[in-house]
Amino acid sequence: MSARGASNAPRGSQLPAQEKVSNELFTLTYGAMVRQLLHDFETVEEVNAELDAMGARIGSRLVDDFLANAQGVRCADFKSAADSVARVGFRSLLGVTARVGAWSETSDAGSGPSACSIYFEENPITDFVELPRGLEELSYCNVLCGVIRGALEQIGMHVTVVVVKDMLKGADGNELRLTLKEHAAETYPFKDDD
Amino acid sequence: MSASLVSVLSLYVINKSGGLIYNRDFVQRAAGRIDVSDAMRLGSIWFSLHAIAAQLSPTPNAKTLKSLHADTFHLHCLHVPSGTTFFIITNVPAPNQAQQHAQRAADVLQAVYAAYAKYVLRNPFYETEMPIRCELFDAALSALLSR
Repeated sequence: MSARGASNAPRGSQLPAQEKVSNELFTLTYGAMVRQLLHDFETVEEVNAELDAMGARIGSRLVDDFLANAQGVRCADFKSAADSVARVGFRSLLGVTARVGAWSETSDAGSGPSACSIYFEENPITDFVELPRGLEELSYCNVLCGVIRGALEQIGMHVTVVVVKDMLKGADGNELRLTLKEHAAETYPFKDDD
Repeated sequence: MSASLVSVLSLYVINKSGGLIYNRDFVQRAAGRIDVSDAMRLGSIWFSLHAIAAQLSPTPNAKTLKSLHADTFHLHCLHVPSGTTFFIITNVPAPNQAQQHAQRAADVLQAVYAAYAKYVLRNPFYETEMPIRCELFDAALSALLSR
């Protein structure tokens, strides 16, 4: 199915050739951007918030890219969506292998778990990064949290994503914690309409 | 796989609040050309019909309208989880090809969705939910749908 989708890819003369850039360019660009944010904002908390907001804007666009190309991905409920993010999203968009675990207990019958963790060890955006003293509060990869939050928001799931473990701070792996706040599937037709 | 099985006459894209953000005809229409306001009306009516039809289903979370068949054209629709709706107007297949036609139309819609994700959403100056004016998207659709 996806192979056929690829063969449908347009090859008009005006369309840009699909070239991959080196991931070092991406890593260094991201580093420069974080550095600039640290320069522009007063506090590290503001930088963390800005990285999260940037990520959310990326995620809200990226979700369609992901859904259009990864066919057969299920995202009807929080469990399958989180699973897709970790297994397919991290692999196809970041090139790393991630696992999901630490599902919360199902709160009430049928609604499924409402929190889980995504674990991964490799992280290309931190390849050359050593956090200096004084920036212990910086959540360097907060953009990933934002991307996940923004992407899931587009499909009606409002989640909070926080970095629980960060290898830049000496942890043995990275862990992002996802918590589902609200799942409102379709918005239209609005029930409170007159 | 026969490429001529589905001939796409028009494409419409509707945003998640029912506004028409893109429409384009791929063949010259013999009669009854649809003007801009007709196209917007068609987009919002299909969007509403599509949303309300889901409530006709006796089971919750049902998929809703996928196609509409008329004597002289078929309408095929793809509603993606992020809320955008794509629909195409196609030719009517020969009776023995109805199933391949529907499958092929679904593939075409999926390819249109991929082009939208690639050439519209990746454009940093495209404002989401606003009318699509992206030359690359136009070119991609021409390569995909015109013959």
